[in-house]
Amino acid sequence: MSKRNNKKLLNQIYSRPLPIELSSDKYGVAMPTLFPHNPVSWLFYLTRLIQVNTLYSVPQSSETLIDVSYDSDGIFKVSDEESMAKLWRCGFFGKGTLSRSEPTWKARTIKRLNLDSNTANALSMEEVTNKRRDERKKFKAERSRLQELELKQRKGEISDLESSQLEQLRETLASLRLIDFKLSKDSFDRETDLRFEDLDLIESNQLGRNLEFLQLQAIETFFLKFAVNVIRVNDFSTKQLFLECCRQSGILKPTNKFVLDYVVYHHYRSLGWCVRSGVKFGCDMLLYKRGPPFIHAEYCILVISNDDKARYDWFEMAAKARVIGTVKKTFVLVYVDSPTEERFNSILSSAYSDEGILFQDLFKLYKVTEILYRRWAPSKTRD
Amino acid sequence: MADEVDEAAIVKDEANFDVEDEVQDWKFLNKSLASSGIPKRGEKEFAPDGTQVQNSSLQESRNAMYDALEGVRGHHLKSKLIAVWIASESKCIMPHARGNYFRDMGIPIHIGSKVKDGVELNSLEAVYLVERGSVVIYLGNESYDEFLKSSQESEFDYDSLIAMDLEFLYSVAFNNTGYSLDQYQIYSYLKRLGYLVQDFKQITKTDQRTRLPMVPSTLSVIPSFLNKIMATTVVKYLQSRLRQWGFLSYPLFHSLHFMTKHYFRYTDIYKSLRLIPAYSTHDSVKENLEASGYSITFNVWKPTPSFSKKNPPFPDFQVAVANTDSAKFPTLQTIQALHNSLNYTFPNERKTQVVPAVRQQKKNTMPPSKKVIRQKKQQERQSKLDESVRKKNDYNRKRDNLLKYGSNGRTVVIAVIDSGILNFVNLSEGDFSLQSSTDLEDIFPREDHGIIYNEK
Amino acid sequence: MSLGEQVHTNLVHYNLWTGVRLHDVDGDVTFVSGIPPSKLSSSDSKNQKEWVVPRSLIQNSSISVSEIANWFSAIARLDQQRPRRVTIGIVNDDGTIVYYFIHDGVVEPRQN
Repeated sequence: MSKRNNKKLLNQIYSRPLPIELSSDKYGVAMPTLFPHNPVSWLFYLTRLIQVNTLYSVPQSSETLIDVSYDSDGIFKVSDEESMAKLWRCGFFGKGTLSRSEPTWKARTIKRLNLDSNTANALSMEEVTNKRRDERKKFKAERSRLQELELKQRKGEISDLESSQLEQLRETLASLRLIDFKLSKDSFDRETDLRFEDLDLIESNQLGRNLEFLQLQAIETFFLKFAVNVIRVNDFSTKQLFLECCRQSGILKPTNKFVLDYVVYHHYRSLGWCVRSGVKFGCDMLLYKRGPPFIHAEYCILVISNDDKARYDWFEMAAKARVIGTVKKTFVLVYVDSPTEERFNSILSSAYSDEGILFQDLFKLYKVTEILYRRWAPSKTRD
Repeated sequence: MADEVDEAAIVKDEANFDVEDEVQDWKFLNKSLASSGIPKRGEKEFAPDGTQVQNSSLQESRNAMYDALEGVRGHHLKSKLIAVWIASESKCIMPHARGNYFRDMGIPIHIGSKVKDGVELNSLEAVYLVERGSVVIYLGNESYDEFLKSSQESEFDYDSLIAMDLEFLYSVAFNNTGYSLDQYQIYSYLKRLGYLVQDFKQITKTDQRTRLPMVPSTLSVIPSFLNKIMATTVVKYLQSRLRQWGFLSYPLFHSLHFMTKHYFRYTDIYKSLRLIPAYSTHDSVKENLEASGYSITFNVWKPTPSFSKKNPPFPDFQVAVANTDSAKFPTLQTIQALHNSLNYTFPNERKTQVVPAVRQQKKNTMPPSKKVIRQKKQQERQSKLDESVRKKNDYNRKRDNLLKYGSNGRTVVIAVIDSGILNFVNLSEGDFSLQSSTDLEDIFPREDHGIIYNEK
Repeated sequence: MSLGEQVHTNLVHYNLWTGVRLHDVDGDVTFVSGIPPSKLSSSDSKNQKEWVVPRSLIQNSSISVSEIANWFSAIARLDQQRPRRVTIGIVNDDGTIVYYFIHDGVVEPRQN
């Protein structure tokens, strides 16, 4: 597939950045442009607005809520395959428990066990990673052979044949270092060994059940409930869900880790970023411009409470920055100001006709400040 | 797509490599010593292999170090520089300052008819010059004081004074002089790399707070009487009826909002979701903040031939010093207070400001670097594009830079010392909301530069 | 799903290990043992049985040295031999499990 076609396909699959459908996409209607100084355009706009409101129902009003289940293990689970796909495709929410990110275990397993001859032969992300690892292994094997021969040479035990092998190896390794690993489908051998464990999965030559579910982080779950209202978690109200999420990470207080994380998560989501966990890079979150299939994450976010109590030290910061620097991302410290216990508690215990408004009032009391942390190498900036 | 999925893949390039992370190999000092068998960096030997090759290579390096250290250090008698440490005032006087060192160092002094082209050196400058073997410092005594005061004698026999060795100098230079060994380590490191370094001072006459430009308030302008009308029972009744009939949507963040409001662009959905207040650029200037345990110590400039000690340009870097033994990572208040005390010009001041003399460009005889070639190619590619595409690319590039390096350029360097190991950290003011960016506004006027999503 | 079960499923169906078993020790710690599809480290002589200790990143993010020492002796009692290393499986709240080796003493570093 050419790069351009590939991009087109991706844009098609991931056309919605949030699990909300636009009226323009559903009904093919568009609103006229509004020119503030032109009253005619106002009139035109107004007429169309009334038209749309009377003729069409809001798309989200007929969407069924996605079921998220939650029990004593503290995991937010989405098991329905269609819902999993929707949450992943519309904003990259959640992670497949048996995949690196997008839930692809079912498709991968069908391919691995040769249960369907029709499956497309495109490579999944996991297969690509394995392929890269194999290449690296090969490189290392060649390198250790080279080191062995070099040792022989130093000891003066090398034969003529080995000498010429050594020269050849040097050249191959040098070129291996230069060429970026390219993926070709034909060089790819699929694992077809059947394990004892796999027999349980197969029922009448088909995959019996999907063992994978989509796991949502607490902050993702709360965003999907409070901010865009597209999910149902057991029979929890927004407030019950909030309390449960807080409980998972300590006692209920304005600086509860979940609350601080959510404030930062909501901040970036509302700016259109795709936000995902940063656990692999020692930070709290990663920011993607569109999402993992399109482009690498560019920013690593560390959430810090601005109350001077839980401070990271220089060494922890340096370690994080070093990891983040090697993967070419920018390190952002996000300090969160929080309200006093009194204000926090008084809002949480007030009666609101709608809990969405309650949390709007609560989160307005927080404030975020961004500081960019970058290593400076004076020897490199002199000229 | 394959190239874009492996987040953890470490990019193969030289940008992350810092030669200072490596142990010094003295063989580079004396290239003729280096045998062809030395493993270059990146292919360091992993473990001892039991052969002589490694041992002899190591020994060679050691010998190169001894050779280098044995080299005679000195200066021509003609360029000998003399200074005197005045213990009573904890300062250092150099009666005749000649040479290149004083472009950024020392404060000019005149003492009677004796000292006309002299300078006063601070502790850092004095130790630095002695350490590199450029100056001999003597310990002043009463007869030298008298010599300075008297109007007759014109010659002084410096050999009558005690020449201070480094140990002696260190013991007095960082004792109650206002300077510390930590500061010296940073100072000397930057000086050795060729930077111009001075004590931090404000170059503008007034500080940032007094110069903060008035920013139009972005507060909601709905008059309060309108709010009152909206809150009356009649209006509320009407609203609820209209909502029931599907003519009016529920307010933002109401759980029924997205089920009752038509949206035509995702940008509008994102706008509706904006909720968390964020510090925007220059917000902290308005506050009176205190930097606890930190202050900016140095103004630092990249080497430039046109540097003037009297009228220095704005520094390229402003450095605070921290020792990991005593200083914790700064709090937000401290970082902001440091930002507030920086030498800094606001964007509106930059346009009217006289541009400092353009750095004299050395004639470049080197072949163009990869970076230059890449930039040139990019320019060529850009010029072939459609005007609107070019504008969009320009916008995206500018926005990326604002996000990555901070939208107002306020940045402080913290030089961190851990038992002599130095690490430099840049802390800049970030602003992902990009609420008031004139740079971006000039390309595409809109209110939501911070919304990163690109509408189809 | 308990922490142990999460790691168990991940090892069997994501990392394709075989013979994976859960071991509860006095209701205190859970260990997971199993055989990976290929040896985990290039310096291993052959592919072998591995021991994994599941941990939660959110609920208990710090480990003490004495805890680690106890793992080794507990596994020694289970397996009749003290393992050269254990693998810690850290479970994050997004379901990501990251695995790190903990060796019983000093080992020669791996050439990268």
